[in-house]
Amino acid sequence: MTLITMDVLDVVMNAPADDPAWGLRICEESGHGPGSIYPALERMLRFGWLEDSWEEPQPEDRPRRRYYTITSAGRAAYREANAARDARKSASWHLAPRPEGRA
Amino acid sequence: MKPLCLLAAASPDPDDAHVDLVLDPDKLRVDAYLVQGKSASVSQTNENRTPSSYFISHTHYIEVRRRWYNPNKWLRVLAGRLGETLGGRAPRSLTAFATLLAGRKHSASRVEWLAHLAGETGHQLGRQDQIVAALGFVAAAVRFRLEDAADLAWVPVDAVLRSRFLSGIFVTGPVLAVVLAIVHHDGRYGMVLNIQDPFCVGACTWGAIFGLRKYRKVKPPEPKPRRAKG
Repeated sequence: MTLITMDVLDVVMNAPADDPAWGLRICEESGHGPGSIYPALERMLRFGWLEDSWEEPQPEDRPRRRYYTITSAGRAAYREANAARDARKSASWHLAPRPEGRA
Repeated sequence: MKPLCLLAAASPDPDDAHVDLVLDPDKLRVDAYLVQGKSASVSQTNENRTPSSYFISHTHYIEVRRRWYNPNKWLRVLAGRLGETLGGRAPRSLTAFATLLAGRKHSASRVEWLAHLAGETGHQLGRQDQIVAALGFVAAAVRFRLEDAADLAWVPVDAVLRSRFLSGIFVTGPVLAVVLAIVHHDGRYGMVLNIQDPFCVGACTWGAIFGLRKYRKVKPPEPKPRRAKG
């Protein structure tokens, strides 16, 4: 899982249920530009990690927003990727314990 | 490190044009001439050196690289130029262009991108931010197209990987071709001498199909059970 995917999932997961994440907010909170975010969102929709819905009712003064919510498959993939990342980190940065009895 | 010099020289931002680097790649040494003395992390490592000779620290190298390779900065410069050329309609024109580029499959993105440009209550995007965002939409549309093209290119490959018969043809075809070529050129005795060649070709093609099946997560159908005799 790429860094952008992880960041997007982070934002979508932490968004409150009554105010779900949408394009501009995901860009701002993840710190990535729309050129990377929208293709990543599209990919995640295709994988079934995210679900989309349009803002209801249609506001009068601006176009409708497309909201993204995470699915159970997305949560599972996120947990798996986080666990793999933690395992990689601990494998590379932790020194092996010194064998007992040696100075 | 040479492109660093070129980028430093080509910088459009006068505030950042305070470092002029002259690189000496043979000695892996960097001579940094500080125009405004802002680069504090460049340290003089040897007192006997001439005043203009410095070794550049890795931290400083990263810092300078970030400064010059920062895509957001160049995007803002481009946005400024586009804003001057296209006037007030630049963000919408770019978004319309991005929608066209993305194609019919991604037509829903248009409304989504226009909502992005509209911002949210209490946080409207400035004009330059809108142009930067619209340039991002163009980049996203290009990526949509590339991904669609890649998906299309994988269709025949996936068809071969899913079918045992077609995969078999792709393995045995090259092997038979090599066998025929050897027999044609060197005769049957040549076949005995070069027996390893068809085996290698077969192993490579089978390995490629096996690897591609893993990569594409494609499983061929289970072979049909043979009918019991009698």
